[in-house]
Formats: sequence, structure tokens, C-alpha cells
Amino acid sequence: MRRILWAIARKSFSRGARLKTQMSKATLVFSLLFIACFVFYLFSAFFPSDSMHSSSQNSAPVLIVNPPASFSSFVNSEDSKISVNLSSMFILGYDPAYYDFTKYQTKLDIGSISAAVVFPEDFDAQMASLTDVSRPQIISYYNPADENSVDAHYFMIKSFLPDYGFFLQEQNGRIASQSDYYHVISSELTSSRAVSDSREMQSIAAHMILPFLLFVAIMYAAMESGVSSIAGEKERGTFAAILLTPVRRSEIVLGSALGILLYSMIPAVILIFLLLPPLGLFTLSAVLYLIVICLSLALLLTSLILILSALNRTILSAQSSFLPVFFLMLIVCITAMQQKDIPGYIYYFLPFYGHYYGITAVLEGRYSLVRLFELTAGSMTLSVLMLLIVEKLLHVERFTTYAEAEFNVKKDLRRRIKADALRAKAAAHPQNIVYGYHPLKHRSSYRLLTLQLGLPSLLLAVFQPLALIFPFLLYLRTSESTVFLNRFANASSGVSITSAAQSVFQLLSDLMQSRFFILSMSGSYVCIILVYIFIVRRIEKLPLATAGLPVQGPRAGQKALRNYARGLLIGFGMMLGVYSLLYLTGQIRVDGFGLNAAGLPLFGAYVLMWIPQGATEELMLRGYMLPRLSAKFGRVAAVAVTSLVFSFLHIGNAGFSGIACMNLILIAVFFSLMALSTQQIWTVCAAHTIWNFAQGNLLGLQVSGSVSAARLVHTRFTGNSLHLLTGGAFGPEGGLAVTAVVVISLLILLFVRPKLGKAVST
Amino acid sequence: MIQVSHVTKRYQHSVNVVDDVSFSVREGQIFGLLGPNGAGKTTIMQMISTLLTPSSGDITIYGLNTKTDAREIRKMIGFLTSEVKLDPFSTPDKLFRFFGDLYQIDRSVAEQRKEESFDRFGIEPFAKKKIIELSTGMKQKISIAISLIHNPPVIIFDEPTNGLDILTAHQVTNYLRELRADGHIVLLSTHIFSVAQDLCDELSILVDGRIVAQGTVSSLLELTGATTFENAFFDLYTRHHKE
Repeated sequence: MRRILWAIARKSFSRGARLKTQMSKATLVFSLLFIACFVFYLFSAFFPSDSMHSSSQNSAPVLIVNPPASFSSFVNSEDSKISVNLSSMFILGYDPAYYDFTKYQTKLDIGSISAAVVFPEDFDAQMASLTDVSRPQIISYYNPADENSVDAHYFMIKSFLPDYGFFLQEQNGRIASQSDYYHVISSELTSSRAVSDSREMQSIAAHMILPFLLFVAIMYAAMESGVSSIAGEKERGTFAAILLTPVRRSEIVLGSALGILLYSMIPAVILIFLLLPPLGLFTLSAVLYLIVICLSLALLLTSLILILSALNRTILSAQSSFLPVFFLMLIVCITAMQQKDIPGYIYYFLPFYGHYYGITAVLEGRYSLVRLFELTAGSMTLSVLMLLIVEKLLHVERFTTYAEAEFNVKKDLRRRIKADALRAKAAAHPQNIVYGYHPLKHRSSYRLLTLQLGLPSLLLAVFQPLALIFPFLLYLRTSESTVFLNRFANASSGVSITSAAQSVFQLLSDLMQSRFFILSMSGSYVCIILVYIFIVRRIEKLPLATAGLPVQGPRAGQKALRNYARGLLIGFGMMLGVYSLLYLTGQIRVDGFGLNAAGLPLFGAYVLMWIPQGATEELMLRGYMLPRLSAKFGRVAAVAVTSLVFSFLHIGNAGFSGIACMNLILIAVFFSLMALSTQQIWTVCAAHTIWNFAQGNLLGLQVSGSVSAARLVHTRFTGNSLHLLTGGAFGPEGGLAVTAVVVISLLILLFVRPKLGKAVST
Repeated sequence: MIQVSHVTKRYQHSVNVVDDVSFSVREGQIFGLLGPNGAGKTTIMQMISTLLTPSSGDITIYGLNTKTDAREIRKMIGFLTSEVKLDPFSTPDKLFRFFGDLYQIDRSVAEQRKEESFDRFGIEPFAKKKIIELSTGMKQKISIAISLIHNPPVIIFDEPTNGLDILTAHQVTNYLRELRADGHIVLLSTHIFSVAQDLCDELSILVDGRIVAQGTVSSLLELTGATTFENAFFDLYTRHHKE
């Protein structure tokens, strides 16, 4: 057993085992550059004071604060004994708050001055009116820890200032000892910089650098040797050779794990021995703790990677599936770096977090054996579980054998068989074939749903914001935009996100009044329609009829027009019904008629917008999604799903409510049944368009929460209107009036077309 | 003795790659599986050597079932197939050591066997060279040597002479005859008629995963009424292959 384990483990260390690890030269170069920069940064941060010292050896100047006039004349006089080149040793500054020494301390710390000599502002005046009791005070600041500073200070108080004193004596004509003239107070600004520096470095190292480096090193090494162990063996075709020997699967797993573990520990151990001594953290216990933590981290990663390696057939695919783990680790590292306080106890248990904080805690000297035990016990259990999974995986044929040609043959066969099954299914349930759409390819339910639900979401998420950009830029140039920006800033600076969202909605409804916006929305809908046409024609290579838009065949255009006109009538009739209902029950009253000339372009823009808007929603759901879902799940499920999606698409609109949801579902069901019974969507496209247009622009109501500016009839809610009926802010679609009309329409549809249930494409 | 009885292999959502195959191979016999590419020869051999599990049916070797006694069976089998490759960056020496470790062969015994087979196939001068630097024939010889490192009583060779020059191929076939003489069980797959004709004591002709004919070369000729073995094969193939 031991022999087998070592034999397998050794493979991780052979050069050939890793040679095919996919890494481009550019990646390598960049990684090396990154590491070099990082190391450089690290070491430049280690010895900051040294570099400062060397710069101050070029005699940093002495700062003279509030130099009196006499001082300047002294410096320029012969007596000062200062040679010309030395006069550059002063920099002069004026500061009324001369007692505030902190700024001098900073300057001393960073070495931009070697000492600071601070005069009172009225030094000359004080000197002129010198009394016996009061003496002006000169304060000299220096850093005793810095030799240059000490030297400069010494020079100032022992030589320069006494000379200045004599100069002053001569000037003022008094003979006395210099101490009589002024006090020089030497103030040691004992900078704790040297000490705090190393402590800060230790803290940075403990919080950020060391754990991060260890994480990256272990992760990379484990990944590199891990993906090449099982997946790499499979890719190279050498795995079967091992499977052919009487080696147990568990021995393969353990041997590989051992090899990866040891391999990934190499960089970790090197890092520990390289980085701990310069940080002054090199103690036996720290090293032992770190190695144990790294071992448990490496084991955890090893087993994780072995799972991925066992699941994948090639190194590349194993590496790609490792990406999520990589991001997870990155997130762990980044969030752990942000944590400045001691984290909660629970974190020490968690895998990855526990390792990160464990390393930090060891470096800060507050780690205990108990925690180490808890952490390693936890992650060991996890690792063992994962290794057991790997062992189970290696008993599964599809994860152990790999022959590409054979695999492809099987894939072809499988595809053919699935296509046969699809055809058989279609023949067995002809009522599920809508618009003559036959699925070409077998797709699992999950994939089909993801695709069908993802496509409209994706398209709307892309094209609608795109449509917003241009009008929004235009809008920003108008004066109104400041109102919005202020409102948005106010709202977002507050705590509530909803108020920010409200201001965005307000903006949208502001924009709705702009015909640029409406035209650009119209453009985006046209784009979505074009995308769908592209998908059906070019990708699926099917006639457009399979999306409910029959355009070929005898008199297709004429038929389409007739169906479209029919749809216009139906939609307008329904909306008129809603309006009448509301009017007759006294919920609304007409406030006026007509459009002013200024509103005409906007009105026109609305017409251009509602046409593709209605068509887009219908094409997405009733045209494209419905037949594709129906072929897989049956008609009832397809209608249900598309109707739910239709309702959810409007969930973001203002004033969305339970009734609105129900109404939208009902309308969707009505449209679906209409599309199913006529086997095309021209009619529903028209009905959808005219419904919205009549509602918003002809009859002046709100459409799914949006109000329009260009209205033919000006309608108001009466004072005693019931929200339950009218739908309030959402418009009639949120009220029971629409429910009534749609239910009646549904009943009529079912009554008029009794053969609906048997409607089958021919 | 290899006993294959009613073995079927099918993958999920797929047809039967191997369909109800039965045959048996005795000690001191070379048994051939002959068929075009994709007929299921390799799959059968992989099932016998426990790399794959039959979907139905049983394979027993000396009374041990591949499903339940896989580890014991793997000790008895030497399997050679082009699907299994040698680590391109290893050397023959290292590979022998590696597989010796995996089979847990005593170091001195392993060394002795290595010398024997290195001598026989003339591997010695290449013992320290990387596999990737060696010729196809040399690689094949090394593969053969390694597959027999544990001196298995059952030898399963999947197209052993594929891609070999005539000299090396001759060496291999001679070796197989020797092994037969030593009382080994030899199962061979090939699509080369001369190999099948000269070497095999008994043959199964596989078409689309099914055995369409079985017997000695002469009995197959009799069955089809063809004059040459090649014609007999084509006859069987056209008769049983379905589009």
C-alpha cells in the first residue's frame, strides 16, 4: 500500500506531469512581473526609515518658523560665519500657531527637515522691550532618534543661536550673557515612528500580505498539480494504465492527494521561511502553527481540486471549472483583509476564513491550540468527505475512461436517438405542435427553460438601457435635468433605496414625454424583433411561421393584413369596453378632447412606438416561446409559463398590484388562446398594440403604470372613483373593470371557437 | 479460461455498442476478434479487463466475475490497447519501476523481468530516453513489455501490430506464439487479415457489436463458401451490416 501511494504521489513531482498545464507565456510573464512588483513593494515597505535616512544625509534643511527681521540680517551678515552654500540649509516659514508642534513632527518624520526652530511672531518687538522677567522663547524641535536631526539641533543651539545672540547683543547694544536675551527650549519630538513602523508592517503583513501570499501560493500549486493528476492523466491517456493495475481506487485517490498536498506545501513552506524572519515573527511555535494551518488549507484545496479533476476530461476544462473556486478564494481573501478587528469566533471554524484568520492570528500571537484543533478538525472532515466523493467518482465509467473518437461516435448516436424520440413525441401529441414548430434538437428541461426565459430577459436588459442612453444624454443637457439630479442625489444620500428608485421612475415618466425617448424605445423594440428574426431564420434555420409570423405561402401578406386588422378591432373593442364600463359606473369623466398642435409629433411617436412594442412582447412570448415550450412540456404548461413571464415583465411598473398581476395573466392567457386558435400572432400583435395605444393615447388612461402626454381624450378619475375598479396608479389594468372585460372576451373566444381544444396545425 | 456470456454494453440514450456477445477462450489458445473500426472489439476487451462494466451479461476469468472480483482479475490480465498511452515524459526505466510498484512486484523480480523483456525487444539502449523521443514501434514494444510486467496468465492485446513495421510486427506475433506455447490465454483483436489468419486458433467476426460468425479460419471459409478469408469477411460484413 505504501509503495503504491508513493509511486502515485511521486507523479505529481515529475516535470512531465505538469508540462501540459495550460499557461500562456504572457500569463507567465505577467505573473512573474506581478510577483516581482509585489516583492519590491514588500521590501521597500520593510525598510522605509533607511531610505529616509539616506535622503536626509544630504542635509535636510532646518525649518525656521516666523524668522524675525533681525534673523535675516544676521544670516546675511559676516558674523553668521555661514558660508554662502550653507545658507541654503534654512527654509523659512511663517506660522502664527507656532506652538502646534505636530506639523513639525510630521516633517521631521518624513525627513523633509532635520530640525525646526520656532520664533515667536513678535520676537524683534519682544527683544526691543526686553524686561528682566520676560524673555522671548525660541523652541527648537528635533528627533532624537535621527542622527542628522540631532546633529542639526546641536549645531543650532550650541553654535548658531549663540552667535545670533551675540549678533543681537551688538545690534541692541546691550552686554549680557545670551541666556538673558532669550530662552531656547529644546523640545525632543520623540517620534515613535521607528517602533510604529515595524508594528504597522507586522500588522499589514499579518492581515494582508502573508495570508494572501500563502493562499495564492497554495492555491496555485494545488491547482497546477491537481488538474494534471487525474484530468491530465485522462487527457494523456495514461489513466487507464493505472486503472488496469490491481490498485484500489482509494489508493489512487490517496496517492494523488498526497502528491498534490506535498507539492502545494513546497511554496508555502518556502514563503514561511522567507518572510517570517524579516518581519521579526520567526518563532518555532509560529512556524509550526502556520505549517499546520497551511497543511489543512492545502488538503482542503487538494480534495476540492481532485473532485474537479475527476469530473473533467482535460486539464483545460478542469482548470476552467476551478475558476469559481479561485473567485471564492479571492472573495474570502479580500473580505478577510477588510476585517481590521478580531473576527467573530465562528469565523475560525469556517474553511478558508478560518485559515485566513488563523494565519493572521498566529502572526499576531493570539492563536491557541484549541482553535487550531477546531479548524483542522473541521476542514479535515470536509476534505475526507470530498476525497470519498472522488473515490466514488472513480468508480463511474464516464469519469474514468476517455476515448475521444469513441465518445464522439456515441454522442452522434445519442443525438440521433434523441431526435427520433422527439419526432415520436411530436407524432404522439400533435396538439402540442404550435405554428408547425418541431424541435430540432433535444434539450433538457432545465436548459430549455434557461434558454427560453433567459433570452427575453437578456434582450430586454440589453436593448432597453441602450435605448435610454441617447435620450438621457439629451435630457442631461436640458435645464430640467438638474431637478432630477438634485432629487436623485437627495434620495440616494438618504438611507432609503426606494426613494432613489422612485426618483428614477419619475425620471422615466419625465422622459416618456420626450419623443426622442419614445422613438428610441421604438428603435430598441425593432432591434429585438430583428434579433428574433435572426434567431429563427439563421440559427434555427426555420421559417418565420414557426414563430407565429407566416410570411410565405399564397396571399400570406393579404392574410397577415386581414389578421392584423382583425386584431386592431378586437383590441380596440376590448379597451372601449373597459372605458365604457368605467364611464358608465361613474369612475371616470371626460375632461376634454383633442390634441394641440404641439402634441402631434409626440402622438405620432407613440404610434410608432406601440406598434413594435406590442409586436415585440407578442413575438417574444406568444410567437417564439410558446411553441418551443409547448413542444417540450405541452400546451397548457406553455401557456401558463408564458403568461406568468408576461406578468412578471411588468412587475417593475409603478403601482403593480395583485389585481394587476392577475389581469396581466388573464390578458396573456387570452392572447395565447387567440394565437393558438389562429396559429399565428398577427392578430395578437395588433390587439396588444391597439390596447395600449387606445388606453394611453386615445382614451387617456394609464398603461401599466405609465401615463402619456399626448392624449386624444382627456380622462380624469372622478372624485369617488374606486381603485379596485379603476386600478389607480397602474391604470385600468390594475382594476377589476379590465378583469371583467377580459373574462368576457375569454368566454366569447371559447364560445366562438369551440374547436379550440382541437386546433391543430396542418 | 475466459468466459464471455451474453454480454451487452449500452450507453445512456444509445444503441448497444456490444450486443449479446458470447465466446470463450482456453489456455494455450489465441482467440481473435476481427471486425471493422467501431465494431465493438475494444469495448469487449475493455469490459474483460474491467475498465468498463457490462450493461448485462457476465464475464468470468478462471471463475472470477469481472463485476465482483475486479481487483483479482486485474492481477491476472495483461492488457494492451492503443487507448492506453505511456506517459510521454517518463522513461522506460521509470515506467517499469512505477508499474512494478503498482503491481507490488518484488524489486529484484521486477528487475529481472525488466532485463528479460528489454533484451527480447531491444529496449535496453533506450531505457533512459523519454517516451516522447521514441519511435512508434519502440513505444509499442515498451507498452507490450509493461503490460506483461506481472507475468499475467491472461493476455489481451488490442491490435498489437497496428502501426508497426513488418519486422517489429513479426517479433510481436512470434512472441504471442511463444506465450501460447507457455499456456497463456491470448485474446487478440485485429482488422488485419493476415494476422488473424496466421495467428488465431479461433476467430469471432464482429459487425455492429454483434458476433456474426465464429470458428476457425477454415470453418469460416466453409460457412461462407468463399475462396479467400478476405472474401469470407466481406461476405459476412455485407450480409450483416445495416445502415
